[in-house]
Amino acid sequence: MQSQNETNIFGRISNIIMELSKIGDIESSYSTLSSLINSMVKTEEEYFFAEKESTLSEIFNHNYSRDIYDLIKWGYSQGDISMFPEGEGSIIILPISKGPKVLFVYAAYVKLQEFSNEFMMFLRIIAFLMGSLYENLLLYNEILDKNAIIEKNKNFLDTLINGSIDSIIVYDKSMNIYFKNSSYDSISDNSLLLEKLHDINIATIDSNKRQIVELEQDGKFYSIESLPIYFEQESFALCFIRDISGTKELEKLKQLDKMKMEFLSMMSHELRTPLSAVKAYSETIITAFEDMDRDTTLAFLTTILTEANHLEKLLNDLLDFSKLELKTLKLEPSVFDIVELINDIVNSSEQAATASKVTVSFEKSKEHIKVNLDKSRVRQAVNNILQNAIKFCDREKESSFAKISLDDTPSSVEIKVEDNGIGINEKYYSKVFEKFFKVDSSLTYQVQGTGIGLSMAKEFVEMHGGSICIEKSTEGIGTTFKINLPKGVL
Amino acid sequence: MADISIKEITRKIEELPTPDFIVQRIVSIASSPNASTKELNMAILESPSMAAKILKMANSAYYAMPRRITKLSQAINILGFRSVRNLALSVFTAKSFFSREFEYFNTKKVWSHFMATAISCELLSKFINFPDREEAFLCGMLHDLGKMAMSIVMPDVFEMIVTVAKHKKISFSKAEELLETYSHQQIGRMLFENWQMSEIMIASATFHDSPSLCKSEDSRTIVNLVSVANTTVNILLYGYSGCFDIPAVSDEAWNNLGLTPRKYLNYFENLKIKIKESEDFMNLSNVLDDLQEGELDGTV
Repeated sequence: MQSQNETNIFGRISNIIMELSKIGDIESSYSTLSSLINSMVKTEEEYFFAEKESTLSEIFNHNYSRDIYDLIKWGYSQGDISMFPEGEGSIIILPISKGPKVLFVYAAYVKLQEFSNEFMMFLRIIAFLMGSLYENLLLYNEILDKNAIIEKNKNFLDTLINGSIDSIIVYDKSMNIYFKNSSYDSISDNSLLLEKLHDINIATIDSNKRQIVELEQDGKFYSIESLPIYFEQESFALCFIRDISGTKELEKLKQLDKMKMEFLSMMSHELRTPLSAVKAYSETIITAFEDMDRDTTLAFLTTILTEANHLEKLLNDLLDFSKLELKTLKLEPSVFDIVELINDIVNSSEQAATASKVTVSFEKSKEHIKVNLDKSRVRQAVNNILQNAIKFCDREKESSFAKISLDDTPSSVEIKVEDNGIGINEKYYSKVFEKFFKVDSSLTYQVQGTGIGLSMAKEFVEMHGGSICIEKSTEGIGTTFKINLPKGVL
Repeated sequence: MADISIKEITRKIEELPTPDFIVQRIVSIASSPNASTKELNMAILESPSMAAKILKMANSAYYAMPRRITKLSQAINILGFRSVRNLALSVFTAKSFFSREFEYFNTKKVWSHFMATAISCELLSKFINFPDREEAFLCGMLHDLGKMAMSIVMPDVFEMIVTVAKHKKISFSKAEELLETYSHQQIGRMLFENWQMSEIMIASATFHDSPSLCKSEDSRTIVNLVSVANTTVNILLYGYSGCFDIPAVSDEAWNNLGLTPRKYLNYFENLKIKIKESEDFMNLSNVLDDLQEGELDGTV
């Protein structure tokens, strides 16, 4: 008899465990509990009560009597399995608990008042196993909820990081990309920039110090900031790359505006000097005309003419410049001998050269080279370069020179102007051809000039399809300009 | 001190009251899976006064019943077979061992210690997720019965132990060691062996003050549980059990039960409230005094 009971118990236990092990979520735990109880005793009514915001309520919103509620409440606080007699039958109160905490209370009405010890033991086993299972399901749900929150936060952060116009990259110690945002894609094919990034971030990791670099690449400006960060005891370099071309453009415009103002004030100064001379000499002639001898008068008038010419040249320059700015200047090509033109330029510069104690020489490979170009513009271009060489002679040196050389090729001519003047720093090589640019931008007037000579020379040469550049220049040693001009259709 | 022979002790223990036929039957029904409410009901009703006292205890504040229990069969269904068995055993124990009074020893307090330890064990079972709460209750309730047996078997030695413990501010067990006497744990073991009680009951009586000595895997958890519950009750009801030391929970028991300071503190606070609420449940006079009213109810 005894052994038969035991098989019965074991048979039921394995059934209970099988049924419980099928439970995958909280909802199915209620139905499994119900079917397990119903496999032993037929229930008439069933209730599931759980604490929600510190009040007990029926999970499936079943109606219940005050009586049931009181019993449930008792079961909830006591945590003990009980059968309360009720009318013809009983109410089973089955608190499902883990440790001292009751997780939910199952209640059922059955038409029975007699229970076997075995039945109570089964309820106990079910409640015990269900308690552990249910708590795990709750924890599982909690983990799922937490994961959802973490996922949501992560998505939000991703959106922020990817929404940034800055490219954000994290490099690990071996310079592998550990993280990148979507803005990074816009620079990911710029291999030169990536190479620079690589170097900068290596420096960050090696020195453990923040690096801030601005660099120009294919006409775009980038501001790169790289800082060392630590994540899980590993060091990384966090790198922000911002395209600051827009900001740079604005800076340039501001700079240009400033240069224009300087140009204006310089120009008025440049114009006033010859004007004052003309005015002073002519006033002298008028007031002292009677007393002046013929030679003095002639000398005075010559000066007036020279200054007037200078004034005219300045105004012409200004006119050309504005035409260039408005893009209304037109070339008027004609066939002429460029050797003759350069000879002419050298001769006409003599006065200025002598004044600055500069020896101007001209080396030519041929006696005559015909070209079909706008003669006056070529003259202006070459003259401006030569004037520049004379103007920026080095007064510290014993002797100064400006050497023009002319080479002939089948389709073009190459003109070089070499001097032993003060030279130009390499970083200004391309800037010297910009409008209003002067290496020393302060208004010292040490060297006269409007700052548009070289830029005009460049414009004129380029209008002819030629090129102009600084071939070489060293501060304190001298500069060589090189002009290449196509000969034009002859 | 040990001028009393083992033979004599054994003989004297055998003379002590043993569970009568009714109690034995209740115990046996409560552990039989096929037993029904009806069977247990019938067995208890053999002793109307027992039934009345069980009903009275079932209605005590300790259980905080939502409605008054008027029939023993209801008490069996509501409290369960084994809880009712435990109450029957408590009624028997009170009647057989607590009817006399001592000048140097307050039996009421000892009874409170018995019941409080029972409550303490049941509560701790919940906290450590031990499923056999009723067995824990019973083992806790009777773990110190050896002391009461001692008071009958060798009253002079017992008096001496209590006096030494009280004056030296040490535990009952420590006083036993000092005096080199038989210990209440040994006496308890002999008593329960004589009663043919379950393995875990015997282990709880034998090792509750020295849980690390319990080598049986089957009983270890319950022994540790009783040890922690007993120590905690000795803190809350200081001196009630003849222990006057500053008790500390055994390391081994603590680790074995997987206790944490937070869990223990939570349990401790809950126990404090529970003991306060259960004064009538722990009151010896409630179990000893015959209540005419209850007796009538029980026989109906």
